[in-house]
Amino acid sequence: MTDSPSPADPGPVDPDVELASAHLDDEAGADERARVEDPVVAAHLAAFGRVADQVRDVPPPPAGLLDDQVARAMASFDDEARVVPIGRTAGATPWWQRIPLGAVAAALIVVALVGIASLGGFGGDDEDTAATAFDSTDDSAGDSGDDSAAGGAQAPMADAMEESATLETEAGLAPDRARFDSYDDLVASLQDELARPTAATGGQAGDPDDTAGEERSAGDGEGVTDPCDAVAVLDVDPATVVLVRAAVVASDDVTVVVHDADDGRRLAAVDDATCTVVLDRLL
Amino acid sequence: MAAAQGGDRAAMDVLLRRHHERIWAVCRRLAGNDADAADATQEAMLLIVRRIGTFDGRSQFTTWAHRVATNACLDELRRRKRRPTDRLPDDDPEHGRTLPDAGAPVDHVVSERLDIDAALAALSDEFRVPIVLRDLGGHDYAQIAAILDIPAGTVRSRIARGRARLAELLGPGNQPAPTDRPSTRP
Repeated sequence: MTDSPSPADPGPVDPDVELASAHLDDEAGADERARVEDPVVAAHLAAFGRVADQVRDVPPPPAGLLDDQVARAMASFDDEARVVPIGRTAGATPWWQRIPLGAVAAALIVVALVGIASLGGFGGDDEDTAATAFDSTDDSAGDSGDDSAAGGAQAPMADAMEESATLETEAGLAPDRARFDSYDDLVASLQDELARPTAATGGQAGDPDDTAGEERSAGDGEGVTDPCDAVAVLDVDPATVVLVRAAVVASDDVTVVVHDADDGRRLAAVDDATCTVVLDRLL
Repeated sequence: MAAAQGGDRAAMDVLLRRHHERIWAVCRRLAGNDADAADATQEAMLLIVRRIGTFDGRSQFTTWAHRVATNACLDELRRRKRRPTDRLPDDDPEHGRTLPDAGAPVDHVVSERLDIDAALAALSDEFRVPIVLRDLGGHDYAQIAAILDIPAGTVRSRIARGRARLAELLGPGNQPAPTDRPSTRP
């Protein structure tokens, strides 16, 4: 019932301390309660009771705060009621029932055109076939601006992919999300991707003097399903954003944002269901 | 709750008012001062409004709301830590006070006279949050485990360890003088 030792939890907790705390919370087992009479446990119990009293002794909210905050929240509630939701709205109709059939047909046509373009004018470039899990439609949309490096044969495909991404977004379809078992896997994938020289830029991703990189950064994230506006949730300067991606980490849908901060390049993830930050660390 | 999810304005208003005081209390203890707690509480209430459609009834609404509120509070506090301060210390006595670092050794901070806000600030989030959810949120260990997505046994040991540290920091010689300040007990 105790934590494993770790840097955060150095060693097991004193059993007397744990028992006193659990008893205070009415969470001690029947077999443990007999030990509460022990003077050491009783002393901890008394001390913890005083601590709990102080924790509960919270200053009341400032006068008027309740009404102000409820009014603002209700204004947001009214706005939500007026706006037709786009992207994922969990708890509402399943996404597959909200897809307009016309949009599906259009997407299929685009996919067919993409297939034709790739068979006819694209000869299996190793750079693209060796793409990481994150390389999806939004990448192509963001990278399509630099024809000189990508080559003329890529342009029709990039255009088609960009159109596809746009269509998917308009139809409420989430672009394919890269899946990761853990955040460690996600970090490793991103480190690989960002360290890899790209055909579009010809240099290291994130080079501050690389204007092509800046163009890619600005375009990256287009077509990504981002129901929470992750950049706003993170409160980071949009100009510092390197990439925005949709991903699934351990079955949670998240929006991943890589941005340059004062202390270095950071990776953050916002849970799409709760719009809260679930990861924020140096990359 | 169902009416609020269905778009009933009056029901949502009642729901927010019913939970405001406890969300304030949780955010106040997590933030350590009124100004940050007010912003965090507002963020939490906005988030509850925006995300109420995601509540699926598998847990109690209070548990869900506190999960959202706790995350909103912590997010707001993280953002504030990253943001350069635009207030002068003299503007607000609460902000002017220097709190001990979360990672500071007990020996360093125990020599100062600590009130409960400073003592809680000396704990890392992993200890402070379950204590606040227990003592102010009124949640049992299973509910806290669900809110924080950690095992109940970990909740139990973290609360115990955090309280032991708080008792040390607030020891008899460091107890603040009692005040007549009204309190908001759950």
